[in-house]
Amino acid sequence: MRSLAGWVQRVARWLPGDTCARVFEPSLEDLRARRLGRIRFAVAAIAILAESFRVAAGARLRGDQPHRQREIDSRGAGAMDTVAQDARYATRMLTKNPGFTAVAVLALALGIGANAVIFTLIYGLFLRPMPYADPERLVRVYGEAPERGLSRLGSSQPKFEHLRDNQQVFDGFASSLGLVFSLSGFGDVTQIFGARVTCNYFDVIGVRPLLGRTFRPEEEQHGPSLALVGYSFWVNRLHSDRAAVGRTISLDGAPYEIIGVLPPLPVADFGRTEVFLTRPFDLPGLTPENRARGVTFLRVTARLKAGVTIEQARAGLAVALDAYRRAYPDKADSTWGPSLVPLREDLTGNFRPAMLTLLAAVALVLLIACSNVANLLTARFVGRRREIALRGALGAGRAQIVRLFLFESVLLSLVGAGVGIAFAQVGLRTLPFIADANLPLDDGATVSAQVLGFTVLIALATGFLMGVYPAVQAARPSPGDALKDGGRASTGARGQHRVRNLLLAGQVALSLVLLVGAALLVSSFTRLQRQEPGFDPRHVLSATLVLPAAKYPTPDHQYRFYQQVIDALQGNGPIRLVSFVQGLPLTGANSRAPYARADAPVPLNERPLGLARSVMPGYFATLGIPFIAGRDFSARDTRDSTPVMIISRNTARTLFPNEDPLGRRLFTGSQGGGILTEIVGVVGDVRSVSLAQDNDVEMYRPASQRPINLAQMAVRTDGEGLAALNTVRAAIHSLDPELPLNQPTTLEALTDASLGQRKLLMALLATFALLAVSLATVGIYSVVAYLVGQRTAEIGIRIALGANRRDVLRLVTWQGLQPVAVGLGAGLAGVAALGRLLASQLYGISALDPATLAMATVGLGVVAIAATLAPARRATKVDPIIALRAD
Amino acid sequence: MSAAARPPRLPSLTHLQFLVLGALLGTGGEPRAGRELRAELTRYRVRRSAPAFYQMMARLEDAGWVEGFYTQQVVDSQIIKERGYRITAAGQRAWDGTRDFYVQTADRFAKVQHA
Repeated sequence: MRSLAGWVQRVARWLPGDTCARVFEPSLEDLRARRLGRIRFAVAAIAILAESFRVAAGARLRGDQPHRQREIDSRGAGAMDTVAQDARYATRMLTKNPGFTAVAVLALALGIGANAVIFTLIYGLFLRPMPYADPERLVRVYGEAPERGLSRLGSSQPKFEHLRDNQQVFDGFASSLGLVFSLSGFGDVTQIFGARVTCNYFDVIGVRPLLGRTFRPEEEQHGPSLALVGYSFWVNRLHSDRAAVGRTISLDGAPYEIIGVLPPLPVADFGRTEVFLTRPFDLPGLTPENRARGVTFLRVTARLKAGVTIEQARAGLAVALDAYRRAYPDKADSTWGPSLVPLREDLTGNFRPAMLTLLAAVALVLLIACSNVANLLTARFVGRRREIALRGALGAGRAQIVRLFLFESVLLSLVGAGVGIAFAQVGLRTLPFIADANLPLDDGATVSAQVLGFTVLIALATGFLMGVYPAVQAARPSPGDALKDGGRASTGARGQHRVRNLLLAGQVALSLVLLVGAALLVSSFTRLQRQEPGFDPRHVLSATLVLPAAKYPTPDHQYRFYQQVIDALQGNGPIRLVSFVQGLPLTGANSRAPYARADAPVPLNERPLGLARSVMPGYFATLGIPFIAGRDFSARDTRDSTPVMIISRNTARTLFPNEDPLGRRLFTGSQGGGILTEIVGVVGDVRSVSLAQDNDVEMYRPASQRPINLAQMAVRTDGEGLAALNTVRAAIHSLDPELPLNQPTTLEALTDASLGQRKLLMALLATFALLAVSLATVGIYSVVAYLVGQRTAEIGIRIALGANRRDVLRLVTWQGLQPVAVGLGAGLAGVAALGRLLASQLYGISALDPATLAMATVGLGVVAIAATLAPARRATKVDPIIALRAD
Repeated sequence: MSAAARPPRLPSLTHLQFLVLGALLGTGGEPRAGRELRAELTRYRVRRSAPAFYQMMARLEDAGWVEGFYTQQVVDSQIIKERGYRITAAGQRAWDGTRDFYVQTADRFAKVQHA
């Protein structure tokens, strides 16, 4: 809201003389004192701005001087009065024709409302200022190895420390690591998201705590266990207790003292993280030896020095990385190059293509609405030629008449914007249902003051654009012609016909582009939904379990617990199979490990990375992943037996073409230069990262040899997955009463959720295409109906002279369909030109898919014929006697 | 014709200005906030938008009848920059002159009526 006040104040500086200081500012302060809500304040502030301009203009026209004191007359005089008069007249004209006004307002409201919805999303994702100090100087530091297809790789502890101590381009260099903790002491034990951060993390991003302090350097590695709590934790769990600092909370069974409360942080950056701890390199399951070897697990955020560009920083970092490579040639991550990504791009960059598509779509919808209303206005203004001529005869200039009509169109679009905002509010309320948790918007999707400002600007521009041509046309000085009764004087000139047809063709072309786009997306989406994921998601319950390190300190303890759960549940009632895995498919939890064939080893830091999952025995049967060859893991595969693995069919094809992979060995992981692991089985391919993507290499390792850190549980049941939840919960409670079962859901729901962003894009684009086609249909109908209305007399004469009804029908339909045909042609050309904008969002279908193009073109053509036929049929029913007498 | 019978000069204040200056005089010369003055006017069923009201006050300032200044007020735990006004000596003279005009004129016509 502050920014709106700032914006209004900036405009107020244009007020003449000292009106801003003495009139506008006290008025705005009066308004502030009334403590209105956001929306009401925004509307009232704009009203005060307009009123200030009005009184200032009134004073100037009256030549108010101290020696000519007059009382303020709120009715004013001069230009402002004329303007007010025009505005009143425009209002009267619009209320006189409620049918026309309703259609025009509805068309504009749909166009403007769609724009408001998309601008709300774009503002929330890309434009809203981040609550960090100088956020444009913040970058994410990743590693990349393009030759191996690797990008956005995290950092290892040695690399982080080396870069932190040897770089000269950043003011601050910090890292974070997301984790899950069991929180006790607040009712039932629950699991919450947390992060371990370096002590300087909040100084680097420029966030000050609301209460208390942040971490000190001496607390980073040693000293008492301290925690910073996030804003939602403070509000929801500590009930905004201002004495929260100093309280103790229990995480994973260990006490932590709260030293500070943080303000709300962007969802896109921190998700649902509730607590922040230090000891930034403490990842459960990661031994000091592994850490030292260069295993990457840190997310690095840095602040560029003032005046340093991202290119300079990249060059500077490359020098520091060279030194790292020379000093530690054996580290797993020493060959990776640096990759710097501005923080904002890192957080929401993946939404950019979808949002650009949607922005283009709503711009098209608005253009269609605009040309629709422009057509209606042309007809209407030209129909008022007699009034215009009379005004001209009485001395009105052309400019005054144009202004009068522009007032009408701007007023229309402003009313349209008002209704559009209401539509947008409704639309935004339904968005979360479509988007699930796929939109990281901080305060949900609501119409903000900025969106309101944008909408008003759009409305003004729309009003002007669609009104200017009809107004100028209508105001052409030809009073003599216009005052004549009847004849062709009121049917509009040939030029206006051409423009009307051009606008109609434009509407059809734009609608076709949108329709094809939506059809392609719907088709991609259904293909993706039908895409076999490689596992059977039906009847599978899933949940997350995090075993606290204090209670389950070693991998053996954890393994034993998982086995106990499996033994307790398997065969219990409707439960058939149970297993655990580190990262279920399509949940975004994917870890990767370096690999190499044993007979052709390459240095560790040059090995490619493949997806790696630790699983409990029975995982493949539980998920319905077919076995192709070999065996499953079993109790024989222990920590001390030969390391074994199961690979996917694609892995077998990639690594062992034309060979039997069973019994062959691979180096996997980075421990000791990679562990020699024997392949004991081959299973079907699983689309584990995304339904749209096949994986080249995917390896499964037994949990007994490669511990699971964050376990996801899969339970296959006979019936509905969630029906078994209580049984599962009871079994786990009986084994460990303090262990919560998190995020219980079904595998089907997880699979669906992985398509969330595509679903959102598809649903929105389909809605906009539907709007576009409806608007174009109304446009075609209204133009043809108008033509029929204007040519009633002519049609009457034709019928009187012997034309039969079929001739009339053909005449009118042909005239109506000509621009439609041109529009369809232009639309196809537009699709060919804009196709590549969509190409990245499509799956399994080309942007120029002939079947889709044909279907959309024929579909729109049929709708156009239907819209033309209704008025054309009316034309055939013209009674020649009545038609001739009426004129 | 005697000098005492000469009618007074027309007043330089309008009704609304007379009302506003009167409201400022009513506090014994103490300054009042613009918001309070607006509230006072509404008691006389005079409703002006905030910009129209402050424009009128700006004119009174230009004429040298009132003096405007800014103060900081805390309203509902929010700091508000409020415009305050106090009447000047010239303002007081103008108000007195207007009041005398009406009193004398009324007096004079009352006498004529009863003569």
